[in-house]
Amino acid sequence: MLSLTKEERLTLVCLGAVLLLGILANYLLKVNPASKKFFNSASDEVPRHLKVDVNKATYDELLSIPYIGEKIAESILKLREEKWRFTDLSDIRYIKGVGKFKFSIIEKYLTIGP
Amino acid sequence: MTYPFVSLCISFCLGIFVAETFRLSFFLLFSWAFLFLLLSILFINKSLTFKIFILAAVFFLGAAILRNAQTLPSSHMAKRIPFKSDSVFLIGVIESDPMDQKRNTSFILRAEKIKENGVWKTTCGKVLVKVFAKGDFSYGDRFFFIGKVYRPFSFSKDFDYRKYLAHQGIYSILSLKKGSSLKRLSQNAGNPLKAFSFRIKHKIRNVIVENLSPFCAGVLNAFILGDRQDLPRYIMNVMVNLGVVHIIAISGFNVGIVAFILLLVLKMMRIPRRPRYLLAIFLLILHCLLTGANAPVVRATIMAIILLMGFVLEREVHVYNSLALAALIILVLNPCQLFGISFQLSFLSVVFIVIFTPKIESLFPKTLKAVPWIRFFILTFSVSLAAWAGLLPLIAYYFKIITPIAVLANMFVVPLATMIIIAGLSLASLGILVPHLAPILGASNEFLILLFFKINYLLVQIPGAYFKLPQIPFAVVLLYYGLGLAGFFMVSLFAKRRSYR
Repeated sequence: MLSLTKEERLTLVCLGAVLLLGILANYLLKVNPASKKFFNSASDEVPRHLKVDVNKATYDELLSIPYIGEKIAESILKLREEKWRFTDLSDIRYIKGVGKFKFSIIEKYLTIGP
Repeated sequence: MTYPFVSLCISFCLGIFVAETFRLSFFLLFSWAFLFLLLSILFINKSLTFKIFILAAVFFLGAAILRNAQTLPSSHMAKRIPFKSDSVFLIGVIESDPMDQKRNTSFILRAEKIKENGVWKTTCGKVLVKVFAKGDFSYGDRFFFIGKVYRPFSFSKDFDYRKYLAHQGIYSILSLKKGSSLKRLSQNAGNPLKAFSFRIKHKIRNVIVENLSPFCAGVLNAFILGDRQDLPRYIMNVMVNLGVVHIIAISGFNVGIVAFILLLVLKMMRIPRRPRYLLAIFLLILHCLLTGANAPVVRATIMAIILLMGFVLEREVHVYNSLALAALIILVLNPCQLFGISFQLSFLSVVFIVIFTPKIESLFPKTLKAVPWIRFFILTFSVSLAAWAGLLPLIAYYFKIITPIAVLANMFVVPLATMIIIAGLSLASLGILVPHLAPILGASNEFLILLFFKINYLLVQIPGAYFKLPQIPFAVVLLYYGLGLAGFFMVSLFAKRRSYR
């Protein structure tokens, strides 16, 4: 009844492993809200060393961030000069060309240094 | 010929059953599944040992999946309000097509936020909302409600309403009496494809209501859209007593007919084989959404898609394997479905039809089968008898009734129901595209539905058509299937030995 080739057996085992891992992650997310942090950091959060200090960033560093083009990078630098330094990242939201969605991505790559 | 999915499916189902019977912890079940999966990797080259370990792994996987499905997150509505609460402030999105009944409107709400101690907190889970006031509700609307939330309770000894709702992922009911506060916050927060399907569904319902009498419109709505709220209660009783209630509940039977009609129409349009099957799959998914994507339709659609994919890939289709794969997919998505009556009835009926129809047919002499109309009669009788014999103990257990008339009734009712569905679908599609044709099609629908019920009334009056039973123990059901299986294997073995000689 369960005659399988070696390839089929491998596929079955892999499928089982993926399913098992999936339900473990799902279960942990349900019973332990702290594990949400781990899963969010794996998918959403940008590692600390990849974040750019918006008060020290150069033009090229700003350009390396997704959704920041030449115009937005120039506007950020100009705003920084005007304000002397950023105290709140949401100030970037008011730059022309930075919408709600774009800002939600950009802010993950930026930080305000000491 | 081998059926790998059959043994995997049986093992998976047993795991779910054991997890429901014994309250074992998730981590214990997970560890056993992990251990056996590891062992099956180690013994991947040893056929027999691998089989034993992989079946054990699938068994514990099924059990772990059920335990995971039954575990609710701490932010779930049922955790926030475990029993009863007055004046709850709730925000959520309507997730089903609202159903207007005589006294109330009901729908399923996907809870988003709840106010606790003056603070809005994120929540999740489905809530059954019952509004006892007039209101305009549509799928995808985000609403703010103030009402009473309570845990479902069983109002009958024979039917566990709480369990029934829990199997659908609903653990709370929100009741809104007249004068309760409710406010629409936004619209179109649902799935756009589902919203589109519901719009078409409403158009079809309007065409049916405009062109048929209220009685026939209620019946046709149940037949092709799965809306049973306008179906008179006594009609349901007649159909239950005749053992043909599966026709009125949109299920595998209806989806099968829809698939058959779709393939026939696409073939008439001279669409090549492979695109024809792919288009039929797409249209079946649309039909599934159109009927509200409830569990029996989703199940039947998955079964049909798996069978059609076999044709698309030009692979030989094994019914047992396809059925087992469909069951596995459905149970991985929602393991609680194993305990649903409709899941058990639809899968067992197909299994029994596939296994026993040829065996019953072979009992008739070949000379009789040479005449086409007698052959059709024999085939209908064999299918009807196979399905009846297969479902006999389950129907006796759940509905406390034995319906010997069902064998005869299905032979008349099924072809007629097929014609009603074809006529109903024609009315639904042409009624929207060419409204002038709708009254003519409506008249033919009216005639067929009335004929259908005349036959039903005649059959149900035959003495001995059905017998009411007291509650039978579940062990009797298991004994019936155990003996049936043993008998089947013995007969098969005997037939095999005789053929070798």
